Amino acid sequence: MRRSRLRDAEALSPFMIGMLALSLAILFVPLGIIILLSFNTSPYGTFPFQGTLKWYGALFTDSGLLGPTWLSVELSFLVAVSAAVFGTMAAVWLDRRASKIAGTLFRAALLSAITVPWLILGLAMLLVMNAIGIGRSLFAIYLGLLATVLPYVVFIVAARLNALDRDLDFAARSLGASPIISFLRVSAPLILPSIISGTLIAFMVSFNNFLIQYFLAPFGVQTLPLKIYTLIRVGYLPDLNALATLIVGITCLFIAILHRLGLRNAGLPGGAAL
Amino acid sequence: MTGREDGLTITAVGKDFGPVQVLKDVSLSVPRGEFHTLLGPSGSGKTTLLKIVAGFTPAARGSVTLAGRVITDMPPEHRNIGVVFQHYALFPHMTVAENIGFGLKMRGVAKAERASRVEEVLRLVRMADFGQRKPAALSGGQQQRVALARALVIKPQLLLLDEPLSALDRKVRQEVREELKRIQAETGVTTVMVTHDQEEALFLADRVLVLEGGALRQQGAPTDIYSHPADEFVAGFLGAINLLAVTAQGQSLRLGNQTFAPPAELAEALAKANPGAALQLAVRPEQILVQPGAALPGQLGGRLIATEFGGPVVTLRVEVEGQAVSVLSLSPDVLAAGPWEIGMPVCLVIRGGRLLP
Ligand SMILES: Nc1ncnc2c1ncn2[C@@H]1O[C@H](COP(=O)(O)OP(=O)(O)OP(=O)(O)O)[C@@H](O)[C@H]1O
Ligand SMILES: [Mg+2]
Repeated sequence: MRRSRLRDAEALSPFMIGMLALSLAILFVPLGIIILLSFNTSPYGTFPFQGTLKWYGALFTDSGLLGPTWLSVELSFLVAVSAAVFGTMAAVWLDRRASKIAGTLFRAALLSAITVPWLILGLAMLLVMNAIGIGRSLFAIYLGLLATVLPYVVFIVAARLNALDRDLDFAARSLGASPIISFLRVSAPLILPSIISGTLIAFMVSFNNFLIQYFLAPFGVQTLPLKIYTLIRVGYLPDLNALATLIVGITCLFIAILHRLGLRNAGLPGGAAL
Repeated sequence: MTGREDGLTITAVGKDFGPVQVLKDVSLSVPRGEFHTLLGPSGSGKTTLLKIVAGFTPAARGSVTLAGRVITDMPPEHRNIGVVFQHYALFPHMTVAENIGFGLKMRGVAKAERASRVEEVLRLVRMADFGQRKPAALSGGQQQRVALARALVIKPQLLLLDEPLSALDRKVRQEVREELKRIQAETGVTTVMVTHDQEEALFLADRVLVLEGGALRQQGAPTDIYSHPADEFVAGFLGAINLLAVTAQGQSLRLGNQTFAPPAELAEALAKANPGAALQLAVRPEQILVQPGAALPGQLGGRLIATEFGGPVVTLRVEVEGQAVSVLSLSPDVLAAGPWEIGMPVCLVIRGGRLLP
């Protein structure tokens, strides 16, 4: 996606190229600085630069970051896997079974879950959770995040399903496969890359989502974004930089996988959320 | 058991999409072992009819019987019908052998037997060395052979093909077409193939069924349906044809101010026609003989308007009493009879045709 954008940019004016370079710099220079500082001895980000791995050591021994990180990872994993299952089912329904009206309404609902600001969504979810007696709880966060990430999986998988030749299913049926066997043996292997893409994106969106977590977390429970938020207000040590560097690394890995799986062609609405 | 009960019978099958009646109570039967082609223009309901037979879409009315069983409401996986699709529909994640073995696997055929039957059918379609390839590594013609093998390996009671050749280029289409005819004869499988290519339909079929606007217009042997189209639509759809406005006059026909002798095959139809009735004479360009010179008694006289050289054949355009007539002859015959000059008088002999009301 990024490569083709650059190629388009070459045809544009130097001004456009300058703007592009500037925005990329705004995105990547701070990341570079954080990575650099995570290897710097000084706890206050001062120079001269002296290489060290002690913040990584600290991260894994006596920082308070590991607990929230694992909570976030576990929560997001659960959310992503649930989103993969329910999202794929919804995508199959949307592409194969839904009537025109039902399909359009469902799409609109999913789209609004992407476009309505998370601030509003979080607030609304808190009200609903309180009303139905779930209140602020881990389960509430799970439900909230699931609702937030589900559209990504549904849209990515449905786009792939839609691109599949319908005759493949007919062919399998005529050869003796029941609808379920046909799905498992023919459709599922062919949409698997899109399911994996959707799951990775669901994981990242869920992991990142401060607002939903902020509104729905019970007092005393801290996911990583909530923990970082508190730390930023009281001052923090470079072990956070070390954690950030690790997360950037893992994200790069995810993006590499997504690239391999051909997400570029998935036709995700609001793909900018990446 | 007679062949008819063994084959496919469709009785008054109808289908609507919203307010549009896409199939209007179509009835037909295909005796066991025969090859029928379903011919019709785009949107005439050919695919819809095939999908109803295969079980991919339900019929709104009517019934479908295969080999004596009513299959109207049976799911496709129980029908034992082989289907070949226009765009092959091979499973892209499976090898050729896995594609072909799929139907056998679904039937619980053991691995060893599966392998030998796959090999056998690959030989039948002349693709013996390609078992381990993925479909993407095959040409269109090869993919369609594999698709045919996949449909045949389950020993279906019926083979359905929906425009199987139309995605192939001309030369490959010819090749696969001949293969298809050979394989159908070798296996003896009852076959219905959809096409909108009239030449293909005539070449392949034991019988041609012409569908238009969701209704069967005519069915018959290729020669029959070509030479004796039931109406103007069928006549025009099966190839170029002259439709001449004539009137019956005893045992002769009148065209404008000229009277001419109709071909012998029209005698019966003429005897039944009211004297003086306005009729249409449908006659194919190759059913007319043309010579330079004035008309003798019983012939039609006209004026040469144009000659169109088409390699082995030449089309001569002639104007007769204000009506345009196309005549098709073999090039050597035309050259031997020449020279031809635009505007010269020519005479025509009508050797065949059909009277339409
Ligand atoms: N799922 C559908 N929903 C609504 N209308 C349909 C549907 N499928 C087919 N039709 C309509 O039914 C009519 C017949 O379609 P069908 O596909 O059977 O035609 P066909 O003879 O196979 O044409 P072609 O030669 O173009 O393949 C067409 O007018 C088409 O628009
Ligand atoms: Mg069709």
